[in-house]
Amino acid sequence: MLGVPLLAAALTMGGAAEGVSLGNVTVSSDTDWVEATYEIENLTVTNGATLTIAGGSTVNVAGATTITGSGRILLQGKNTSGQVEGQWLGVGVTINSTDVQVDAGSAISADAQGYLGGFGPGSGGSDAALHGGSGGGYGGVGGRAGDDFNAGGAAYGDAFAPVDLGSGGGPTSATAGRGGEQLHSM
Amino acid sequence: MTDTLRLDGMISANGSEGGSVACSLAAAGGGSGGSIFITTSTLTGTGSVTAHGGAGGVGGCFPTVGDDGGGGAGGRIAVLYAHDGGFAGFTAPSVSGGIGGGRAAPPGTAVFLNTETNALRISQHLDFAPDSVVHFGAVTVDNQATLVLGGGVQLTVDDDFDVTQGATLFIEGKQRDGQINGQWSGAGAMITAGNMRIDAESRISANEQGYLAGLGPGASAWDGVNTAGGAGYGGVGGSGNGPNAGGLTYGEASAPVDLGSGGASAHSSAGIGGGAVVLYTDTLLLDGVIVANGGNGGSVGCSLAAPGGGSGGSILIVTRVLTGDGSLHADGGAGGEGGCTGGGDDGGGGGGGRIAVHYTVDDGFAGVTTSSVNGGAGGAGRSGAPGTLLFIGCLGDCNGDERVTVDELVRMVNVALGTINVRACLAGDGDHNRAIVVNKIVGAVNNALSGCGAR
Repeated sequence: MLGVPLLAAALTMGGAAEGVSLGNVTVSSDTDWVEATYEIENLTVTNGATLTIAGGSTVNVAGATTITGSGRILLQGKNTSGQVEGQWLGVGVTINSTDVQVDAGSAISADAQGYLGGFGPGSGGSDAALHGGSGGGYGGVGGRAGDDFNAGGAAYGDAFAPVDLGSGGGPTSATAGRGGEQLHSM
Repeated sequence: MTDTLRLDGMISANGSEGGSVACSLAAAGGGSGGSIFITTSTLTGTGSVTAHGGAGGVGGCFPTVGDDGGGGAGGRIAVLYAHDGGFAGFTAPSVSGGIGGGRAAPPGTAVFLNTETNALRISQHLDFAPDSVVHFGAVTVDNQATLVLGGGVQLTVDDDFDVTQGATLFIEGKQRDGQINGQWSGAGAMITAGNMRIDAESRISANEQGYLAGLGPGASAWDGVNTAGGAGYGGVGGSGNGPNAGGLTYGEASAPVDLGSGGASAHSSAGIGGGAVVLYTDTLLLDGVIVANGGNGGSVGCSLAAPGGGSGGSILIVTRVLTGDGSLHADGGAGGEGGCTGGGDDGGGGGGGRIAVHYTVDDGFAGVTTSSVNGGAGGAGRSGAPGTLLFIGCLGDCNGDERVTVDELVRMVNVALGTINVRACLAGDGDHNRAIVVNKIVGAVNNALSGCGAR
């Protein structure tokens, strides 16, 4: 079984290369994985640790993914702060695992990892005046601010195969809410 | 190896909340929920899946909510599974919109789809885009969820379609805002299901999904001065004052599929027409309601002209078995209230809509006596006229007058030959397979000879 420091070293050496092959992996202290495709036998996150996986990654687990002991996997987004060649190409993380077990008190989270405030296909409306910023849209239209001035962000995406990032509220600033992220688990 | 998702904890992709600001600064909006897309063979556990929208930021001018930012919309969750291993998290609230400015943003979408049976479960919210053609093995809408069918949607459910626990199926209209190539072409949505059950707390609603104010074949006009009349459809709209007449009737009583019309706007906006629901089922158990009512006109101050009400819409049901304690309503909306004392300056009420139910077996459906196509209230005798309400259980009685004529038999033959559409005689289609064949014509001949009550 690979220890966490070796894992991190492997990733440093491999950079963002495709196909990072690991055996059985147990994460028991906070760990960051850069964007890559990971091939793993069994993945366990435990002991209150958070495993943070960079946006655009794919994690293939041949056996079981087990999140236990208040462990957490945090999935980040990619391309969250603007368009790429005129397109919104934000993506999250895909996990392909034969079995997945998330115990009570443990979690897979992509909270607030989507498009930043003011960004995304459903970004909330704002203006240069002091009207309130509207909410980001995605599965529905974003809510209007209390002053009812700026339009809410538009809805987009596919209800039966949702793979988009959530959009940020208006305006483009660090204070606006950030959309939720995308998790595709098979 | 099995392919199992055991979820006792949480999978989440929630949006974050907007930042709060001092008074006189602009508060920020909340982020929308993200995506969770899970495909698994077996789904089990007691946990939950959430993609909430974030709350809007709080403005500093305490205590009003008028300067708060807007909430983010809910995200999208799709869980595709082959076997339900007793998962408990179907109904946990999961895609709600964030609160902002004193109200919640719209929810996102959440679907649980059994890929073996093609059974769809909606426990929060889902909408099908206008003109979608969608097909499932079974559909459950529960837990106060909302399922929205855009105008022109055709939804087919092979077996059970359950709408329960305070759920609402919204049927929207399309082409409501004007003519297409010189024709009024508005339409609602069509559902075809095996066994449809709507419990006492649940409903199908096409309220105010018809033509917009002042539009439609039964719209009323306004002279710019006097109180306006209501729109017509199954019944004429109530008149206004001066030259303002109510809108006219149109459409077919025995196969109603038109949208209700919009009343004439005056110094306030008029009532919108009711929408159109078309439902083909083998068994319909309706304990709740199906409604396609017109909207009310807005109120005005004294000496201003009040608008008219919208006319009721359409409900067309073709079913083998009809049962339950529920009812059907396609009522016209009330005329707008004038501001002077008494009702003399109220707008005209919308006319009632049209309801037709073709059935083979009436298993004690209470709505035979409690359904309504009332005209909307209007001032001083200007209520809309009632619409048309037909329950047709006699094979071959195309027009619902409780007898079968030679003309109706000829109509059935023409449907059988393919020269006219089966909608010309839905009552000739005894088993509701949308075809008329010789044995149905023979049954209708018997009803022509012996009378409708004889069978």
